[in-house]
Amino acid sequence: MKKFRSVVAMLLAVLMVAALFAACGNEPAAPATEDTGMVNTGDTFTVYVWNEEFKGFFENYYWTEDKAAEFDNIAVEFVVNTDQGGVYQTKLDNALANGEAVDLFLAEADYITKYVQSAYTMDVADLGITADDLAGCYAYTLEIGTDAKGAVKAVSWQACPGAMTYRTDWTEEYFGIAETRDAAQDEAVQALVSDWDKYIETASAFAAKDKELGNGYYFVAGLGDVWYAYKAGRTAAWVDAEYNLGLNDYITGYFDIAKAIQESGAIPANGGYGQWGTEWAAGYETTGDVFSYLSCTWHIPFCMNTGLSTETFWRAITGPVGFFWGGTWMLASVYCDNMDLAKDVMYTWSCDADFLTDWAVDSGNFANQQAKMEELAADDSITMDFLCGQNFYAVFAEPAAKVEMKYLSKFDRDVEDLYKAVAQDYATGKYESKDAAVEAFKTELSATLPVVNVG
Amino acid sequence: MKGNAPQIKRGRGRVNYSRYGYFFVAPFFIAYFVFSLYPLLTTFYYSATRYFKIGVGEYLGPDFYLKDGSTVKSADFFANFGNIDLFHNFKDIFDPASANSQAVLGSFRNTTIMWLINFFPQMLLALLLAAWFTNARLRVRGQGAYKFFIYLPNIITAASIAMLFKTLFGHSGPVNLIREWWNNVQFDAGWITKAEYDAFEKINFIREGWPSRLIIAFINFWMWYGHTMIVLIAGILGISPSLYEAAQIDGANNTQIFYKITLPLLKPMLTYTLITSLIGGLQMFDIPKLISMRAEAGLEAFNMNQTVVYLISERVSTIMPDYGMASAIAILLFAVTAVFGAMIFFMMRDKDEIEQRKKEKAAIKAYKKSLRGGVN
Amino acid sequence: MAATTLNAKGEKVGNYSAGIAVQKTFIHILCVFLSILSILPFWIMIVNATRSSAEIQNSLTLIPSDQFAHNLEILLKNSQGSFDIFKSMLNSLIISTSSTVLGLYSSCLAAYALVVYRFKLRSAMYTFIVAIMMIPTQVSTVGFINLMYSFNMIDTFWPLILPAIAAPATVFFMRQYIQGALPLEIVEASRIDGCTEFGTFNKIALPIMLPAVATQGIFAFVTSWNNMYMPSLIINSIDKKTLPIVVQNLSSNRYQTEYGVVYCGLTLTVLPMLIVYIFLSKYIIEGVALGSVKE
Repeated sequence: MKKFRSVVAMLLAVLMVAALFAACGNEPAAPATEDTGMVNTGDTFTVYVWNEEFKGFFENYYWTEDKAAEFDNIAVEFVVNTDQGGVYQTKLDNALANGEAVDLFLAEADYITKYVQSAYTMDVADLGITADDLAGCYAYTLEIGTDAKGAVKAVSWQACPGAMTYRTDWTEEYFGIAETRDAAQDEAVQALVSDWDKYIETASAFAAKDKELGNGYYFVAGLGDVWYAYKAGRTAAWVDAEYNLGLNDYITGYFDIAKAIQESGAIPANGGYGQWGTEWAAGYETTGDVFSYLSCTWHIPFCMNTGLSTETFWRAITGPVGFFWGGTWMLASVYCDNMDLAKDVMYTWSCDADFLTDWAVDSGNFANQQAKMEELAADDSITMDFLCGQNFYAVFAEPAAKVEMKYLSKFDRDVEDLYKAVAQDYATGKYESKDAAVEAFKTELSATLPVVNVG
Repeated sequence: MKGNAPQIKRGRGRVNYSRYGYFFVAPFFIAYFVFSLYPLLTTFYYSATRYFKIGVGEYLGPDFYLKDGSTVKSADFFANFGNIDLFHNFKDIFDPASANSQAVLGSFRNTTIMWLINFFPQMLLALLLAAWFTNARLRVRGQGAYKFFIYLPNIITAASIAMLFKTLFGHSGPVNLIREWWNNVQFDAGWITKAEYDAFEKINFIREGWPSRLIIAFINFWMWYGHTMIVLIAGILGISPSLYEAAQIDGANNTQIFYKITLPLLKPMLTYTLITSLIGGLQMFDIPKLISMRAEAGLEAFNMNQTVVYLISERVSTIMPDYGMASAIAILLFAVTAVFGAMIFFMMRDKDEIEQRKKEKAAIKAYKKSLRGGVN
Repeated sequence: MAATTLNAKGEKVGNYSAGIAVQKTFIHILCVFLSILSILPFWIMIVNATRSSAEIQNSLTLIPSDQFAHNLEILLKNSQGSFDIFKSMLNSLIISTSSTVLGLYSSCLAAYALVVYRFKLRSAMYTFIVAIMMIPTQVSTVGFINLMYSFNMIDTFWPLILPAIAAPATVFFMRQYIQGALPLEIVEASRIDGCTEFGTFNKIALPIMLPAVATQGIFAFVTSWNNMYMPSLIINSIDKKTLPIVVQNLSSNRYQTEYGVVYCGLTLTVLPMLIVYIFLSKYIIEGVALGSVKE
């Protein structure tokens, strides 16, 4: 037994020391940054995405036979990793850190800063896309994609101002507004929700009326929707450059709004329907139980307009506040080995005005070309069936020009997940006071993201 | 003697087959060292460090902590040898003022509570059923069919079951429909007032703290009591029937037989089941992970459901994974498991072989003594 | 019938038949209740998979409806490009089968060696195996993932298959079995016949071990199939996902506007193990019993 013990002990010691040194040398190297010109040696064009929205666009509008032939029929691979629980980013980061051949990847507004600021993304100028090319884009989309040194790293095909979509077939019953499905109805409903106070008032009225009618309907799907509208008005970044947490009255004001809405019964219990869940999506249908969504330019074609019902009853208005919701940007990684194709994709999908306009009109999306979108907005002949004949572009053109996406940090996604959870608890009465909720938020944040100074 | 494959004597030498022993166990040990032992040691190493990922491909660490709280690069390990504080992360976990402490100890607390709520009813029910099914006098028919149904949930993928229960207890699920129907019934029958009837709301149970805990515990109970029952039945059947016959002749009734004969003889089996269930319970991941997501469930509910392994997986998948702390939590889990594992190890050691070796040693000792001549 | 019985001493021992009958009835009622409890959630799931969204939202019933084909169609259409239930079943099958076969073979080798050969480190190795039996694999997660990155095996099946070669519990069980079932004289006899050691193992020992191998195999397979933790950390690409991972996608797909479709998806994910169980329940239950008895 003694001998066995000493053998094992020795073995462990040896292995431990080995582990020490092996792990020591295991730090991944930063990417090489020589200027090698346009590299086109790859045999697969790899794009990292988290859903199939862009894949659909790519295959249906861009990757025609001619285009494919132009690039020698290269194989295009979309690597899809779910965005739930941060998996998409984890996998993407690991791929980049290991120098895998990622050509293009997509990123959303709430974590794009991390990639724009990193050394792993290419300046689009190196791909051959100039500032002139990008002149037609909405300014805010370029601001977000620009790093501290002024290099544009991310471009987008869309602008994402938000809007409130509402059910035209219920306004009569609940508010006495006739179902005329036109601008008159829009204005009448907008008057009811023109700011946060009115919004909450109307929500409560709706809930009370619903109790009377016994329909079991809700004014808005859930706190998730409300948050996106509210957070756009933020006046400080979540985490500044010195890693300090930026809470102020505006941000904590969200607790009050959430509580008011929850207590009025305007959303389902426990914070309402979680976004991207089945119940949230089921509300788009005729048999749905949701009166309005805080939606945006991509939400309408990508989510709402895919329901199975053939009836239309949704129209869009500005809602309580101008906001924006997300948006997707394209970035090229430094390991891109199909630069010509990457350039072509990024150029076509952000700078090619005609292509983008055609795509937008055909698919019911809002392209990232300011002049063109304003043209469409002014054009009365453009109607969208899904919105009961409304001009989709007219709804969004003005807000799009006003979007200001400031105050982004790379921690946004994680911080906001936590903040929403705390707000939900506050709204459902689990904290006696706002201060208690804020304290709980800070405590939890300091455990999850130790680098942030919660002060 | 058992375990001694006879060695063939050929001519002057003996062919030694023992090297085949090494060859045959090699695949096992190689695989274990590479895929389990080495990562385990690496995890030990990280648990003593500060090791974060702060950006794409950018890492902070692994650095060692010094006694005063600052850090040094791991390459300077031997230079600062006297000052290194290997237990920094662990001290943080047990420091009542620290946020990490709340999260980590909370996760152990959650895991234990949910396990306790699951285990005791499970054990009682399984014991009861096992006693009935093995009772020769009762002769319960259709046991095969009952066993078939009761064991079924154990086989089905936990992920599917978690998703199923999440949907069933969700806002639009059957449980809420039943509650609504019952609310209507009560109102129609005049048992509640209009105000109470109006106050009815569909609840999403998995977003409330205790209901979600109970649901998770129930799922575990539901999945495992069939398994425990089968194990206990096997244990009871292993008890010599002559003991039962003797007891019956002496006029003992069912209850007496159960408490005085079955239970005491079953004790090793019960202890084994308890410990393996506990170790399994410590690893609970699938069900809490699918049922309780922080963004949906609200912070309180999430904090009440997060189990240890779930916490570890969370710490490595945030935007800034904390490998150091995650490893420390893992080592803590290892320590707890090792304690319970040691208990099983001692219970299951091959008593025969130990007896044998003791005898051998005693015999050798006696022989050596006799060589020296007499007792001294 | 109030039959009174006398025990060995000739004393009256009471009213057995009636007492037993009452007990038995109670037992049957309880067991039927428990059986229903075990089935009910699945039954509701299957029934809801056949109903339309509106039906599900409004009422609860145990009687199936007719929308299954519709729900299935929508499920398959919606999942295009984000998850593939059938491909994931295939992936799970590949991983589970390979890991089971490799694990069983190496465990049998190791167990055979521990019984048949007498070598210096034998008892140390056995002690080691029993000691590590209870350590959960999640403990070495961080180190394991890093190792897989340096081997470049992330997003492949290898990290899910190769570690299964070291299965301490299986070795423990097989060793016990071999001790009881394999007479060592056979080994000696086969050596005399000129068989190599490896050949002896394959041709003589393995067939004898087969019943235990089968039982252990079923468990290893089921455990590997149901494993969600490791694959969720290792697998990236959609076409490599295993079934438990795909389950998560079922209710957070933007197309899932219909409740019936979610239940339909769940039914599909439950189906494989359900089928395995229906055919092999007897062996599985026997295996659980066998595996737990320590002589």
